[in-house]
Amino acid sequence: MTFKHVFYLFAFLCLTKTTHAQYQTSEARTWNAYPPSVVKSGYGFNQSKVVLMEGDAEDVEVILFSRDAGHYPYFDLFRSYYVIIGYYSKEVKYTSSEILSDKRELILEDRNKDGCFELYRRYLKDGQFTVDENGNNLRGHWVYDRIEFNKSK
Amino acid sequence: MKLKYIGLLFVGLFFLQLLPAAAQQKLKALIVTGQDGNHWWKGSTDAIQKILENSDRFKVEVAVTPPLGQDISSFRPTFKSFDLVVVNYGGTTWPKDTQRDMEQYMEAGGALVVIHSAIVPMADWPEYNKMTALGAWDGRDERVGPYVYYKHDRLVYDYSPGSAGHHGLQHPFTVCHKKIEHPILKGLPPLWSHFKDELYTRLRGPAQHMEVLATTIDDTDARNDGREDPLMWTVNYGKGRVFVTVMGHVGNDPELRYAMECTGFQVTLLRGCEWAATGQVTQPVPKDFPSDGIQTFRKEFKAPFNAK
Repeated sequence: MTFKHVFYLFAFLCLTKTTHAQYQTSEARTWNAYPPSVVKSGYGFNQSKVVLMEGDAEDVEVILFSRDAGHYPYFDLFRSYYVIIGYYSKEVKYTSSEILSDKRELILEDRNKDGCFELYRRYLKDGQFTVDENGNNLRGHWVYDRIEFNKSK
Repeated sequence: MKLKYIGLLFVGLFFLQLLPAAAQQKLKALIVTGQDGNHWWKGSTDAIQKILENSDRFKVEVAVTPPLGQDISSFRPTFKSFDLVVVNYGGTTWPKDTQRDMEQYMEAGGALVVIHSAIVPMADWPEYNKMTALGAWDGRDERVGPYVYYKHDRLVYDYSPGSAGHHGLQHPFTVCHKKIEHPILKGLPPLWSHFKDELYTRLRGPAQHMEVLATTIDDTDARNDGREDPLMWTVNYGKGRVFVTVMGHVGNDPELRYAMECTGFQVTLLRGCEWAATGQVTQPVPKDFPSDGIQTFRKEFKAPFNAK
């Protein structure tokens, strides 16, 4: 094989690569609201809100996933967690830990009045609780959290 | 003096005759249970037994299948020895011989009562589907028969394709009687509030020889467009009578039977059992029966002293 042949082969390969690049696209996204991978086993979508949150330049969609965790005569218990996804970038920015509560709430409030929302949640510490023999009088250590997240971490 | 003793003897004999007669009037009921993946069948069976026996109308025996996943081929209760069979079961399909026994029992004039999740199992037993008329889940879809519901006060047989069975979160709901002259419902308030329960809707099945007695509207179902789903119905199978109630959820997490503690559930179940077994209802309308907006409870599964 002469140098000339090698040169032609090199030129052909370069051309092929360039041609391929013409048709190369980013990986297709097959989901719309949230990627299926963020849904943990047994959980389902409950509700979502689009807000601008503290410390973030982009609007985000905060999505609550939950599942039943027991039915009692006058209340129900739910396990739930939040996922925060960039509204335009569709990047999953944060997945919260799972909590146990008697409500499925998405508490997004601007309590410090700075134009950005904060995410709050109310839950039973360590998922521990007691009820009486009739399944009433839910007691436990209630925790009131403000969820902070930092996408740079 | 002698005459006085003879008279007392006759009076004594008279009452002695009455005692076994009263005992004979008790109807023999068999509760079939033992498997249910989503319900605390021991708790619900205990409640049903108490409801029936505390009425002094029934004497109850319980037939328990082997646990879920184990071989039940030897499970074969003698249905024909009982005036009534109550199915509180949500597990493996019964063996063929047991199925045939039940079919023969019902064709000959037996009595069957089916409670809550017992409309779910045994979808692969066509005659059971006919006995229950409507069912849910377990692979049931348009092949088993139509959806049945009331809409605009008309009974609808909806043959559109789709799976059977839906329930949302447990909640209290209002029961609406559609056949107020039926012996099971006669004299009871036509609207009453049922305590928190797991409401089964989108039921479908052969729906033959059935009469829908009561319905409710599932207002927690966003897809509901005015449909009233059946809550209680009767079925004629051969010469036998079937009463089905989809109320009476008992959760499998804690042993809480609040849906069965509802007076309305207990009274309609009791009347349905008596109707299935005898064709008539002799029990009076109790004073503690719930009404529209009023829920009442019998936590001990028996009528309070002031119910009559």
